[in-house]
Amino acid sequence: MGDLKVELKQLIIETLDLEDIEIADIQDDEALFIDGLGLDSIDALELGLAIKKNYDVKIDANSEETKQHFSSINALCEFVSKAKV
Amino acid sequence: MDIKIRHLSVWYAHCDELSIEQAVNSDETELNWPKLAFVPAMQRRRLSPFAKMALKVANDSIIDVVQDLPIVFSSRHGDLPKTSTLLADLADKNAISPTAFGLSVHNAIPSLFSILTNNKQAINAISAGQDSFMMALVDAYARLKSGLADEILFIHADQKLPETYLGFQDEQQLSHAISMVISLPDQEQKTTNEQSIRFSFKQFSNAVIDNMPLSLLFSQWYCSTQQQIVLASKNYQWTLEKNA
Repeated sequence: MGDLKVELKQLIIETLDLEDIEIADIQDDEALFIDGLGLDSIDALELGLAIKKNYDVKIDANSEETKQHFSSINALCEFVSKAKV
Repeated sequence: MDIKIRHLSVWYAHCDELSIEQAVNSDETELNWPKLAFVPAMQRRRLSPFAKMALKVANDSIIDVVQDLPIVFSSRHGDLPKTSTLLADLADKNAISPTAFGLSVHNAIPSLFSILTNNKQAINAISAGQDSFMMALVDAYARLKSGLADEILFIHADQKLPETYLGFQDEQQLSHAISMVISLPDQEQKTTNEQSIRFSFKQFSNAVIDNMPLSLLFSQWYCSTQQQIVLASKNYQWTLEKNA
């Protein structure tokens, strides 16, 4: 799980061109969107696409659950590791 | 057509060390694009090189302009490096980047600038082949003359063609952006930063191949002591003259 979290943070930084942010700056339980890291709706689409590509998981664009999955690194990590199998 | 130009701002690849003639057709792979300190970091990260050079000159041109100005934006190819990446992704049946797609329309750059400067004035975005720059000047003149605006922020940008398209080039290549504030000439005393010009055009079939883009020829002429110039594209001949 730990490795996947680092991997996801790296993916977020690279995919979203977060020049000034390093892996250590992203907290596992911090909100990714609006508060916390401050990502927006275009980032959500871009990140969804990157996760689809990298982990071959299916993401339902409009569900409440998806919102939950993308709320923090912890949630995203759980979602990806479950969906991968 | 008579217009007054002030705050002409020019950026081109290698402008720190080379003249336009020297820089044209040069290698642009290791280029330092404008830094754009005035753009918040979270917005700056999405800006392509094309956006960066256009926003840089636009911001330089409005340095002491108080009111929000309508914008005329001109580009022959728009953000072609980005467009060609999107097209390649589509051709390979890959999903396309939402960020790149969202900023790929022709008026994306002046729209970004209007968001960054909180400017709610109208925007025209023009593309007219080799005549893009000059036709956008005509459009700006028409807007001024019809009373739609007293002053216009004019922005032009074109980037060196991506590798895939270099085979189709019909003019010399240099990534560049030019911006200025345009109004109708008045009787007021001219300051050092402004110049009135008169320009006209006629249809003309030219066999010009591999000229510099008219935008670059214009800015060279504007910054020189030369009074008059005739510029030619494939379809038009433009006569420009500085007024004393």
